[in-house]
Amino acid sequence: MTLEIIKMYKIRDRSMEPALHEGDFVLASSIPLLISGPKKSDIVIAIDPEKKMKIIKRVSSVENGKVFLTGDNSRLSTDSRNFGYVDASCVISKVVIEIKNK
Amino acid sequence: MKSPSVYKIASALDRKFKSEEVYAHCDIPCGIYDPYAAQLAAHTVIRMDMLIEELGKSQVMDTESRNKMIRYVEVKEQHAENVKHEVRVLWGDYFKPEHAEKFPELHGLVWEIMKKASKCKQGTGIKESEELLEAVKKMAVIFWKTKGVDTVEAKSFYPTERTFVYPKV
Repeated sequence: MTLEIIKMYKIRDRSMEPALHEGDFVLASSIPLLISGPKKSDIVIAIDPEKKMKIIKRVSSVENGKVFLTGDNSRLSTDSRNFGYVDASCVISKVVIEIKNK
Repeated sequence: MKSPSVYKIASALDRKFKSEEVYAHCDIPCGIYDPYAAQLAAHTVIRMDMLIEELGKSQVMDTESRNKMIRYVEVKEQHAENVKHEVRVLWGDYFKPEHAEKFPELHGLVWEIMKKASKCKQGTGIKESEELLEAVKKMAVIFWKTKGVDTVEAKSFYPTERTFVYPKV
């Protein structure tokens, strides 16, 4: 598993609007996940199980080590509604600080 | 955090250290699909075969007729390709594994349409283009069934005088 103490990411695309817009930054860390695992309503960085790229989504439910990830902007989001539950080990880090442009 | 100065600092860090991008991504699942376009293209292929046959009967093949013939063939070629494109989009983007489970003939039908459309490009037989339309109509029926919509096969108002599968609304 990837461990990120603290890492800054830049947001691409619009599926997390209105919480996060394209071009915003977030600071994410694996430490909260080590302590208590992903929790409902956390914004997390995860590995897309199909495309293997890093995505940012919100945890909408956690069940038996698996998480359901959705974009806040559900009309413009490819997420667990398309690829289903993902293993909690695919979740790398949790967003701890959001740095917004506007 | 909505402080402009913090954002400026983050941007400066980003410029210097190039932070990794993370995707709040969307494949634009626009949800706008319709087997109408594939049927329309298949009708056009039939119509071109009809015109080609008619012109082929003509005794005179002057420049004017040759020009017409080339245009018919070009349009036929293009629309056979349009059938393939439209069907590929439905197959790849609209249909889900559960649809293929419910309609096990789906994958075979797509394959059949690909082959038949190529056949229409290779030749000028109306029989082939009719078969293409029939296969596309079968797919249209499946498409509407997956949405729980009944279909009706009705006469088109095109010079092909062949039918079209419409959703029953």
